[in-house]
Amino acid sequence: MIRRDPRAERDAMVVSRTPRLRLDRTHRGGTLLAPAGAPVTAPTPIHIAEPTFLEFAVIEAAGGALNRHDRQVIGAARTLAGRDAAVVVLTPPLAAQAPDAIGTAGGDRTITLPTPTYDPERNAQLIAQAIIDHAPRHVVFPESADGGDLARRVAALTDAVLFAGAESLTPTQVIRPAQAGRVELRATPPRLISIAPDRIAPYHGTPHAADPLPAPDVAATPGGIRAATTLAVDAATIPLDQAPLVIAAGNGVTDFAGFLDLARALGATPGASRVVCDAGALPRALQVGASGTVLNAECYIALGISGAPQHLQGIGTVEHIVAINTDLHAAIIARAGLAIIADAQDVMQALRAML
Amino acid sequence: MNIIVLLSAGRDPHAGTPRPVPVELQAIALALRLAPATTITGLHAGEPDPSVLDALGHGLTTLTLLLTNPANDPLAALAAEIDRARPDLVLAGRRGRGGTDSGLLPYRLARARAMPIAADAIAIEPDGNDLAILQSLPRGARRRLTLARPAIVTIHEAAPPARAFAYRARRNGTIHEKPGIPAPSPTDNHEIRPYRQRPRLIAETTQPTTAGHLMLAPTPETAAAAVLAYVEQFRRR
Ligand SMILES: Cc1cc2nc3c(=O)[nH]c(=O)nc-3n(C[C@H](O)[C@H](O)[C@H](O)COP(=O)(O)OP(=O)(O)OC[C@H]3O[C@@H](n4cnc5c(N)ncnc54)[C@H](O)[C@@H]3O)c2cc1C
Repeated sequence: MIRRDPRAERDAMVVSRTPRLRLDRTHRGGTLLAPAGAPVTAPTPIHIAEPTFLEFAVIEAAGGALNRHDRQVIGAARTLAGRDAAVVVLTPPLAAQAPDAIGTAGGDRTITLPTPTYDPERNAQLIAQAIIDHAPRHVVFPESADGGDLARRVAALTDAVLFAGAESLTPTQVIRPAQAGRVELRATPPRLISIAPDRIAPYHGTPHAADPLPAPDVAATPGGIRAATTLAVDAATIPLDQAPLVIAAGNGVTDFAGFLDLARALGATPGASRVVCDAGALPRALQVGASGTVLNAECYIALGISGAPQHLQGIGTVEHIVAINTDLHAAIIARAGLAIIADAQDVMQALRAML
Repeated sequence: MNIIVLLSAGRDPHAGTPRPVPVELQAIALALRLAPATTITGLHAGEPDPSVLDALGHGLTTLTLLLTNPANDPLAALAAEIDRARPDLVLAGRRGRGGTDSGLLPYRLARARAMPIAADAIAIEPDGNDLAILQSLPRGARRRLTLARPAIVTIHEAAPPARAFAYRARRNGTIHEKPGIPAPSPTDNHEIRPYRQRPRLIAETTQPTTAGHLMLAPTPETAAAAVLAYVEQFRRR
């Protein structure tokens, strides 16, 4: 039988002795923290100067910024690359602040595809040329509408098979559903892989340093897509679960005509909490939450909503939340990226006047 | 306009029994808006699968079957038939449902026949010598494309609904059977297992990742300006 030594155990738990004694009882090791007030230095980015091989990540970067799926694609390429290989991110031109975003997401190099308008045929040619130039082990695409289309064009152009819609990925195995989702196919990762959304984790480690590489050089040939225009959509007609920007009214809103007018002016899709729908102030179809619609929005504006658990379930994946509430202690305030303690009616009127 | 609709052997996702792929039936409905039924042909390379024959009950009047082993690569047989029939437009579903389901075949066919291809159409109209296509994008967005003829177009689930099944039409439809071109399928050594549901990543955003910005009792104007600035930041994505 081993006797316990409480003094030695306690000493092993000491995190700091000044300004006061702090113990770590979760047994994560007794490393001494820097004393409070010491400058926190950002970790130096990882620089892979001489990669053993390359991995490609082709991202969509709609609007010049990375979305969740893009970060997952870079994360997948990072997983395949390990520590010694470099991830080359092929991207449309990014907004000014974004090269940093590529390094944070786990990319080591960027190749900017100089395609000013929607032209998947030209992009596929450029990517096929980059594959010839750099001979990456794998090329990872997002299995999204445009990303999946581009992946298949590249596969057809390079005469390769595409492992479409992978749901699990490790350096030695990829898995995807087939036969109407009744079976799954497992294989060692082939060259071209597209990954399903929200399946493969993005990279969260120390940021990498992303250096630019020259764009591939191919003569442009006239394609079969003669013209392309993206049409403006009326936000009110977008189904609530697909809407990118949702503005919702809760029990703190009294002027519902003004609310709908504001939603129209803002180009946002209107939503509501259950209390409002129960009262009949807004139609049931607008209800956000566990027993209503689960949103996939980028941005959510909550007016006079307390943020009950059933409501928060409906906005679980929304990254950017604005809450306007008179109660500082409402649950939604803790969840919001921008919390405003003010009367919803006044802010609504001021917003409407500004648009 | 001469239209070919590519049909694949579909399977029911739950029962596994033969069942047509819904988007392919929507493709037939879309073709019927463009041209009379007599100029529309269904095309399948493989065995006379009941799911393919059932397409005749959904508005198709003729079906060409290129008899090959279903395990073969259908590309060569389909390409040869397209060379012979010279269609103005080839329609396909965006993905099969019952085979490898990779959605790659229309793209390989487009490459083999040097035809342009566009994905996820919900409406098609002739536009002079070209085709005007309305494409469905995520988040309810739409894009209009002009495509040179002849072209391959894949159909999105948001396209108009398929025609209802009519048993008499299914019985009276014409089926042309021809020998296909046997070709080994591009070998990939896959291991096949029953599908296992894996969790999606959602945990990442259910907690606030960064400390939010808090404004205590601002004037309505400053509050409104802050909201607009915050929203504009994420608007253009
Ligand atoms: C089984 C079950 C399922 C449910 N499903 C859902 C669901 O799907 N969706 C859903 O939303 N709810 C759902 N609920 C109800 C949920 O529990 C809450 O009751 C509801 O979400 C509360 O709505 P609210 O925030 O609008 O109202 P309240 O909780 O009344 O909150 C009103 C908020 O407005 C603020 N406020 C008041 N006046 C003003 C003002 N002038 N300006 C600004 N702010 C003001 C208050 O401070 C308060 O925070 C469900 C409940 C159950 C039991």
